[in-house]
Amino acid sequence: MISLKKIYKYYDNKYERTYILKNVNLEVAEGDFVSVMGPSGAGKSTLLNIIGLLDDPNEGEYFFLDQPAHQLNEKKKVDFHRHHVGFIFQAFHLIEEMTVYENIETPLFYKGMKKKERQSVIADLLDRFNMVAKKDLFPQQLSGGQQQLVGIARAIAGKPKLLLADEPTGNLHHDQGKMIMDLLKKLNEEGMTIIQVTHNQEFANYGKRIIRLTDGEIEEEILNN
Amino acid sequence: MLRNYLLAAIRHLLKNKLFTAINVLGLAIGMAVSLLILNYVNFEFSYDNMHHLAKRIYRVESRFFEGNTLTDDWPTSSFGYAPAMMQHISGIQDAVRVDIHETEQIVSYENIRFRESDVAVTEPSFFRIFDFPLLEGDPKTALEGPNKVVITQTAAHRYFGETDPIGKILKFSTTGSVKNCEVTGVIADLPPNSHFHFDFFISWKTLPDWMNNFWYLHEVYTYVLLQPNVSPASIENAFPKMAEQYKTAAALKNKTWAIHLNPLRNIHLTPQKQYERETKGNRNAVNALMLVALAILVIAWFNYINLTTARALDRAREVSVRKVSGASKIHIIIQFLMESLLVNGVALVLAIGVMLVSVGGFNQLTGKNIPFQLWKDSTFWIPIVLVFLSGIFISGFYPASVLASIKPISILRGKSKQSKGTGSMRKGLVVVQFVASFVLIFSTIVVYNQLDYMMNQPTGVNINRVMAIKFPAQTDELQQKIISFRRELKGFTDVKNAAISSAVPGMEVAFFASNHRADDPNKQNRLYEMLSADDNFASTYGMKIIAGRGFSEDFGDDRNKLVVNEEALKLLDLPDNEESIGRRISVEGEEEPFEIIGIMKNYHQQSLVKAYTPIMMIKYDRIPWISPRFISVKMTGNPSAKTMANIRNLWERFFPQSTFDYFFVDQFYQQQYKSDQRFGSVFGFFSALAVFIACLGLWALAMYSGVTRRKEIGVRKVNGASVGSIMSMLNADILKWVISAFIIGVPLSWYLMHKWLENFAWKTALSWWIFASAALFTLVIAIAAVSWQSYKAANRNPVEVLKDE
Repeated sequence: MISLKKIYKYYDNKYERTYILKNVNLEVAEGDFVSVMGPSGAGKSTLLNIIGLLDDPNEGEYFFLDQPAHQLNEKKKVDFHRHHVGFIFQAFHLIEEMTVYENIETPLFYKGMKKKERQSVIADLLDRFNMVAKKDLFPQQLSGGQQQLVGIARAIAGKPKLLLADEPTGNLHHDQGKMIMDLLKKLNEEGMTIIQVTHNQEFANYGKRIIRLTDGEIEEEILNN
Repeated sequence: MLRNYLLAAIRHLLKNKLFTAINVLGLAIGMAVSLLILNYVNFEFSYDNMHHLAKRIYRVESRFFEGNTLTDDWPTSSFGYAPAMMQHISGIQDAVRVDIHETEQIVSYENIRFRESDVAVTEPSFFRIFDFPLLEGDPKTALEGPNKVVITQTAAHRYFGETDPIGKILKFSTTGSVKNCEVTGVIADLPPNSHFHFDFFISWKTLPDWMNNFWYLHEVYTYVLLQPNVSPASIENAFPKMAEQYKTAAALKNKTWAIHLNPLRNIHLTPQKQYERETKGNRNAVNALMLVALAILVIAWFNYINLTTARALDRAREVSVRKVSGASKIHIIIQFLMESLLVNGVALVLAIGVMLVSVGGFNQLTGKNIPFQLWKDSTFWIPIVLVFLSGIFISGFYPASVLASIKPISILRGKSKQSKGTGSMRKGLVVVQFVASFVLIFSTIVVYNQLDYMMNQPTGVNINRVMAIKFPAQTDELQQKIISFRRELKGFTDVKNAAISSAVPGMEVAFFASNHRADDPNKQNRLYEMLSADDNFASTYGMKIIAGRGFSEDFGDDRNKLVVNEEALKLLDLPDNEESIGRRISVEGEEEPFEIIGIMKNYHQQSLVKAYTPIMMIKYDRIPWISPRFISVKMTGNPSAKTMANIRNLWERFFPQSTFDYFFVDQFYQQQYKSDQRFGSVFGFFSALAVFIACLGLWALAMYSGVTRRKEIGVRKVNGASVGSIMSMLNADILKWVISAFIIGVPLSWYLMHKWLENFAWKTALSWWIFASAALFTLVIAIAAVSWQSYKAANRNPVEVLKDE
């Protein structure tokens, strides 16, 4: 599904070039669950952003479903975000002025889904996450774990093939974090491809593979199980 | 999707109440003001459009040329123009004359008697050309034949109350004649946006026959209705040649007699000339107000742009989330345009409310009773919709596209930095607001300075404590009675002096005669204002005689004598000293030349808007058509009620058939500045509003910058910066902006006000102190607007902010 070939990302200063990512090669198959680990500044988030088409590599090739994703124009990128990928963030990033229901509804709008259809999709998600009673609350009225649940619901509402999670448990207590990770694992078992960035070894172990990044290079890759 | 956008917008606006309030308030004031001004401007441009033939109607205005030089330019024409033009020049379908040579008459019906000032004489064609509907009577016959009169509803009510006016006889008296006229028609009062307002229209045939084709009395307004597709230029071009066969008398023979056809609907906004019956609109003032309206709107729009882009950071996360959820740029732009629509929409509703409430106050300010015609006039809806839509677009589009181009990557990671681009755009817009504020402040100072200058400059005449009584109507032995009345007046203890004259200071002298030096071989005629006066006139008004003497009984007969002012001497090519005494002047219509016996220092007969005019003073009983119209009474102190009663009793003893009407000359003189004063207060008020809205935006920006820079401020304070140094750091930007605005604003405001001052014959200079004080004022209010926020930011405890991170 994902194929990264010789990906470089760097910033040029006056006299030297600072590498964020250096010769990264990565293959991710459909249904995979990859955890990316590494110290701060290792380039974990940059890697995730490149995969999510929020950032462009300076060198290298990126194929998504065999399409050259590094050559997509702005319009195609919007399509990519609309149909293929969902994001989960450490800080949840829910829209504060909108209710739980409306937050989950946002990506469905942009997909151009009809109202009836949206209602049934959201009803299913709320039901599944046990949040039916909270659908009219605003994000500030929820706990962190509940907010991240809404974040996940929003990310998967459009039925993407790929879920990108940037430290999804970083702002949560351990118990809440565990609940979120169990949910991600379940989604993966249902067929969702997931790539997560994390600092937490316990939560990294939920992945089928663990990629360890140091100074922009893949240092080692561990297969779980 | 719209519902989603609207909901998000409403919640967002409600959450940030202060910013929303500033935006909505600024926009609402801006819109209300521009709608008020638009309504006013619309009214000014609507003059005389009630006539369905208006596009083909022109007023025939006289112009006299010496060679190619325009020497005289009047809105009137002579009695003879219209018949001659109808006869000799093709393309004229119809014409009507409105005689204004005796508009002030004493009108009576049985015991009801008033001095009326709106009496005209006109032809039956009046009702063919103009669409003034007759409520009673037949428009075809009402003005046929002599001694008929058509009156307005108000006039009818004044004399006849509820009874039917048709067939009643009204008596019209002037100093020279008495006429009885039968009321044959009643018309509705003339609408406020007509350029003339008469209450009485006497039939043309009532005038003596000799007047009908007379070419030497330019005291009628002539209106012509051109045939379709005839150009006014062709009529204008044909006139001078035709005039040659009519201008047979000596007066003005050496000049070319020309006409200008002024389109009916343009009359109101073309410059005021002599002999205009009513104060016209001022195109410059209309333009200035439109500019102020635009400035206010632009300032409010810029506030919206600045506040929205300054707060882009707050919205950036939302935009980023929407983008990764699949929103395209267009989606985001539409969303923020919707928000702008919402803000502008609420502002518009508020603006309409504000306007409805303040339209009365606005009318008071402008001194006009402008009907609120917004709802009726479809042409007025277009600008409203235009203002609204362009407001949404101008204020909404730039912030929307700034927000739409936010890259999600930096925001979602929690790092945030303000893009440099919007910062400099914001500075640019603030500078533009400052330029507008500076220009408005500068202009307001200039306007008031000019008013102050005009009202406090010595006029050269002493008009304090002078009461002017209007002349009585025709009676037996009027001349003797007037002289006795004057003599008895002078006997009163409170009365210092009393004089008879054809005009008093503050009005046009208005009687023109075409005169030349008797010894001039070319007989070069020029027009002089002829002021008839008695011996006491110069002393009553404290006029200075700089050579020779004024009129005086001590020298026997002053019958063929002239006292002239310096300006007249200039026109006669004579020196303004003793050498000119005894020179002889040939006066229009007089066989014997007149002799100059005195030279009067120039004085301001009219306001300082106008230049000195050449004036020749003759004895009040010398030339019948230059008849006296006022008795000026100079008091020793403020007139007591007893004195006023005594004067009234005296009047009633001498002139029981006339009404006693008077005014105080100083008040009358100041009236001339009324329209300028009004313009000053309207302009000043709206300028203040514009500056206020600009300050509102600045204040909010300062608050925002205090918030975004709080960490920097905290670090500086921890490192030993004083409150004062932080405040001056925060205020330094303002100084830069004001200086930039000053550099741009100085040439702009100099140009605009230089143009405006060209309207005045006597004007103040645009001296450096006006620029300096406008700049200082702009700076002070700008600093005041931001200082409270800077003070708060500088005084915040650094621990609070540094712990935050």
